[in-house]
Amino acid sequence: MKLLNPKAFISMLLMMPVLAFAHSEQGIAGGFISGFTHPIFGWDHVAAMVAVGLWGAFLGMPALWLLPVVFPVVMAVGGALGVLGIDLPHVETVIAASAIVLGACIAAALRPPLWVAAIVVAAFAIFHGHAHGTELPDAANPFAFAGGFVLGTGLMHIAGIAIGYLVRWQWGVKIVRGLGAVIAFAGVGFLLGFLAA
Amino acid sequence: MEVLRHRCFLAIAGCASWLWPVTCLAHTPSKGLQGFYTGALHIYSEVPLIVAFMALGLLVGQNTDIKTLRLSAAVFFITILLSSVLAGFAWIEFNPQTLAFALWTVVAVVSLKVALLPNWGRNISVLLVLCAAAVLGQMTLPDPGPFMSFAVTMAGSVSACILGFLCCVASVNLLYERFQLLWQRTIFRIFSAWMFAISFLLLAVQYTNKLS
Repeated sequence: MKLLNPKAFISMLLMMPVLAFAHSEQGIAGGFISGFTHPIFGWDHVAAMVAVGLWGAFLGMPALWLLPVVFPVVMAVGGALGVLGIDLPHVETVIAASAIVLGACIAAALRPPLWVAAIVVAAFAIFHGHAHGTELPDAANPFAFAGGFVLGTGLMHIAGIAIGYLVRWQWGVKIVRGLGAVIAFAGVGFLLGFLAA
Repeated sequence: MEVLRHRCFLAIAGCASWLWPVTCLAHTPSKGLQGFYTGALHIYSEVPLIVAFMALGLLVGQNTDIKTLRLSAAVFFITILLSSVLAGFAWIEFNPQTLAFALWTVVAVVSLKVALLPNWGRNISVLLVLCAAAVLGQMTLPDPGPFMSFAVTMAGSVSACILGFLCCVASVNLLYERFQLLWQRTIFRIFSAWMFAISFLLLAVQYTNKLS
């Protein structure tokens, strides 16, 4: 376990992107990286995805697994609509609104019934999926692109769940609610154009 | 399953899997059996097939009832054999696009069931295994050639499918029984939801390609 020195690990992480992006990738690798970075480099997506994990952890079981399961399942339906060329209205607006609503729910410590939380997450997931799905048919390798963006999305949920575990402590609840408020304000910024999504 | 819970098992399995490729690739295949290895490797080089094995592993491996495990394995073996034989020798076969569509549909349904209701509906699980094996059996079909070479290659493909199925089921079952913890079941569910999302999106892509 000596090998897992936190400072060394963080230093390695800091160096990793430089190595990873030093070479351009083609084919499967290119498709995967393109899909993986699609949700990660869109701050509006990041805010909403992390909020889903945070809210799941905040609500506890069974929301902890249900919300991160409902999101990709319904997101795939939205993605399929995008792939099939079926337009949805105001996609970017709803994505920004998802950050506001989910962030506000966490900040206000709302604990709605499980089915209400699932429906709220599912409704927003359709729009997030649609945004990714429209780019899927143009991807060099659709499998790699789909795998990349589903994995990227899922990892952000897991990051949210991991941060949400702080709610086990009283001070952690305050931090998580504070993060919810930050996400909600960021959503307002995306919606009004103060922040670039 | 007791042996799988033994502390040495993971160490032995790790060493064996580390040594295995070296041993395997150290020798060239016996004369006349090259087709067997070609057929076997063909299965492991197809990403959709690997995803299908993983989905089946998550579906079947989360059963703790030994009877269900045996029934699912028996259904898989018999169906994949029948499907391959019918496709190979009776020429009841479908075109590759239809098969790919069918495979992603089965993977999507299996993944959705595992994500939402992993321990519900034993008969439905067995039925899904049957459907998956029927599609996989069709996908093991080698290119036409002399009878013996064709049969040997097909035997390799079918053996690889059965091995892939067993490995995935055993791995999931090992994890399921070894760590009977909530986080591990949560990870299985989330992973299955991801697989559903990927397979459903690829179904949509294939449908769009079909339309265009």
